Amino acid sequence: MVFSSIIFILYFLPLFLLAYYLTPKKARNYTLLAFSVLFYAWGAPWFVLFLLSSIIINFYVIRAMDSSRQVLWRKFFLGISVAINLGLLLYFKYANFFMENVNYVRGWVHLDPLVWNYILLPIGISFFSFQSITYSMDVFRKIHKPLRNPFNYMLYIMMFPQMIAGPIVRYKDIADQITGRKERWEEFLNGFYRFCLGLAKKVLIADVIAVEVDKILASNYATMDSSTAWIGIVGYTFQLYFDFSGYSDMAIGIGRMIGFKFPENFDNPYVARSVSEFWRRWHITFSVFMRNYLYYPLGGSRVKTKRRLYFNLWFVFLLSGLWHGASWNFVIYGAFHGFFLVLERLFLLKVWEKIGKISILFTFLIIVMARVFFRIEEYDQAVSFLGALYSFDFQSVSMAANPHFYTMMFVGAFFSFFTLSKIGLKLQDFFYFTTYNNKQHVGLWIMSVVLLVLCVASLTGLGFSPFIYFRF
Amino acid sequence: MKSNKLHITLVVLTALLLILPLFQQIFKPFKISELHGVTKEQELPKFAAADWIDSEFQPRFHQYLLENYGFREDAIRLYNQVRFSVFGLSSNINVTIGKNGFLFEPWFIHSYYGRNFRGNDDIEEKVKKLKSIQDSLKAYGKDMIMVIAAGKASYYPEHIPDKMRSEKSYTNYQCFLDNLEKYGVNTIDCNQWFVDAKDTTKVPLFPKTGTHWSIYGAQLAADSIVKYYKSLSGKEMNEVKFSGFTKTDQLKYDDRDIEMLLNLSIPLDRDSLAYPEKEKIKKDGAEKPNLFVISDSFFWNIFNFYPIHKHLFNEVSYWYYFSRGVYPAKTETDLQTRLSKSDLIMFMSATSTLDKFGWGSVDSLYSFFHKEEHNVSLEEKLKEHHEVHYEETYEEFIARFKEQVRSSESKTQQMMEKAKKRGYTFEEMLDKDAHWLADRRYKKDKDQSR
Repeated sequence: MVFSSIIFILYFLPLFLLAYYLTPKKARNYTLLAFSVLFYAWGAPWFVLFLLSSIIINFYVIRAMDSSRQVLWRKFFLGISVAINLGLLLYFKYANFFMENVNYVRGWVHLDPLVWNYILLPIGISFFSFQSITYSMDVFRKIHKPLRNPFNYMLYIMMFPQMIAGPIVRYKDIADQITGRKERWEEFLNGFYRFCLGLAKKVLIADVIAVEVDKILASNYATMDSSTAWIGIVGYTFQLYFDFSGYSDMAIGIGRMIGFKFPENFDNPYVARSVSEFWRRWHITFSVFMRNYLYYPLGGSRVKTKRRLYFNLWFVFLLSGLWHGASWNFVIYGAFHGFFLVLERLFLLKVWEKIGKISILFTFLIIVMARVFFRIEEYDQAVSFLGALYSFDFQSVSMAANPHFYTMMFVGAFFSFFTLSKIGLKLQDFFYFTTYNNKQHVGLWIMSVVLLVLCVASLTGLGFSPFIYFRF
Repeated sequence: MKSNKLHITLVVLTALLLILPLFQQIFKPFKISELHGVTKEQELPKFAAADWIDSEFQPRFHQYLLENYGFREDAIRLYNQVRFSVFGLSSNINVTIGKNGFLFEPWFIHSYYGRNFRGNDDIEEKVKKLKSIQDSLKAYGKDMIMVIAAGKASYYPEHIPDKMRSEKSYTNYQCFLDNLEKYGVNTIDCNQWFVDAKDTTKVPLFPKTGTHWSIYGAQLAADSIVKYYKSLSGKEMNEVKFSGFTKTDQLKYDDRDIEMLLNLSIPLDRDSLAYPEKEKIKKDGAEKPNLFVISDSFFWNIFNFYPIHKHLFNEVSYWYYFSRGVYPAKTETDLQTRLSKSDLIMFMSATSTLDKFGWGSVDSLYSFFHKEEHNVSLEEKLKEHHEVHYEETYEEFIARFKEQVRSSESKTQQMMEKAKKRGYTFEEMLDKDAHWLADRRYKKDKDQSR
């Protein structure tokens, strides 16, 4: 089930909200958990029991860790917990990739391939396994006490607003909210506005752009002209942003409707003046996770040599790339970003500072280039596409042929860069971070209802629209 | 305290808003007008644990909810209207918005440019069989006519949108005409006649908002067909005279069928069309032959609006695409009996359906007349109960359905989107749909025959 679907918007969500608020306050977590299990079981029925079992095991392992006074035992239990979580992730997400490469090598040395049953990827595994690791680590580091009730722990992992595609909520950020949150009507409304805004970003912008982008990226790159190639990849860059940030908005919005405050996940990433800044604005919770649980344990910036620092950076981004998908193109994607991060540490940041705001354009270009490897799985196809981009064989483009697509491209471009202006920043603050007066509430409510109705109409017309990040 | 009251009010309104479609679906307090057009609908799937585990139940159930939630029809009309009014786009891939508000079905445009040309050898073979059927029927005292109905893209090429224009190449229409003339098949070319008459007729022969020739255009065509048959057969038949016309912009459904497919909230601007007033002239001793028509949908405007029934012809049997339905329903569905009863066998095809012309009928009739037998009379053929089974078998139906989808860009795209939606490959979805349709059709036939 996806948020941007009729079954979610018109059936699951209203029934959930009704059940949630009719439930006595003390029991609301159970209602939320029940609906979350149903939500997950809808999409991955064969995996849900397996998931529940691993959650229970993990809960008691961490509880045992917390009870231990000896550091060795604490590390031992932490190791088991991380092993369970990473083990699940490695097995379900990367085993196929591993076997494909083993068989490739075997083929190279003229050995028969190993027979292997293809493993299905459970949706959301990359997110909830990371979330589980934050719990283990934050308890180990004594940042926060563990949860006493296993159902509350289940809820932390499986809460449907953010389970499938984030934001990755660190345990310490939400621990107190699980047991002590307060639902307020004004927050419910703010959540509703945020949900509708996210839904509009996904359905009215991302999904419209996706239709044309998919057509372009399914064409033959060898005969593609540069105009089409650039439209395709820039379109994909906007599509990905509005799709993913729209989803995050919806998750944050639903959370607020039931009293949760999830962390922000995007901060106008395309106005970044460097790749380093980009990663402070794009999928923020993921960057925070990788920084706190991988980069810092490796030594972070406090290593003895610059060589080690650059290695750390590059290694973290290699793994970041791999996290996005189990294939070599994602490794290249990560390495590409890591390369520029290292370059920025070396000298490129100074160059960006010198050229001022134009660095936004160069940074955006680097991001767009990286998207080629993010989107196109086969290496030779990606190279062929790059060839089309840089053939400089520009053909004229008729915007009248597809006005809906081009209108949404302009809308996407506008909202991607509008915070470069003061008015844009003020607008953003208004929609995301303001406490509203009565008139503003009425206006926003009407706007949200209009967006919701348009989205429902569009979903019925366009059809099912899966999230891109569901492959994770 | 005032702000809390407002918050609560808005929260309640939000809850009501979200619950309203479900309320409408269950209790249907509001009357909502239906959508136009034919679609395959998802029945409410029965729940089975195994189907849930295999993720088979979920997409079917979701599809069912998507097709049945309250106010769905209004949502679709809103979406279509926004796309049309703001962007000038059709949300229905079976409708192309032409210039100046003229609507087309895209395959008319493709066939006009020759993009679906099936090849001269194929067409020549088909026409040779037609000629053979014509001669065989003539031997039994029956006549055969091939009618090429007019195509809207031929009539209104100036309104074809720029993005669909290309160089014209040799078309099915031109190839059929060349071969029909070459082999001497009785032919009426309404397409060229319509194009020639375009500048002289007082009212359009094609509606702006419809895909078929207008009701008026169809009446003129029918009139010409009857006159042609009279000269061919020498029969003295009753007559139909057009005594006047009513011009109106309140068009009958058949003259705005594509517009209806758009499912808009606001009706389109329409041209006025003419609806003829007809006078039936009875002649003493008039003959009323029996008519057997194998045609695409272009015969409907004649079948429904021209006085062929009882006045001109005694019995009219219309086999829609040969095997998709027989009209009127009370007429028999046995090919041998229909052939033996009929005096005139008429094939009709619009220029856009010539790529599939015959729909199995030409091969069926040809094989009926050319089995290895020696000078057998039609009556004797019938007595020997030759099983020329016009009805496709279950497997033939599936093969034909699949071929139709594969050979149509729009149908292939629809099937691919459907497959993607439900997590199947294209071939898997095609196979499932083919079997689903075949099961319904052949089970229904079995139920009806009990």
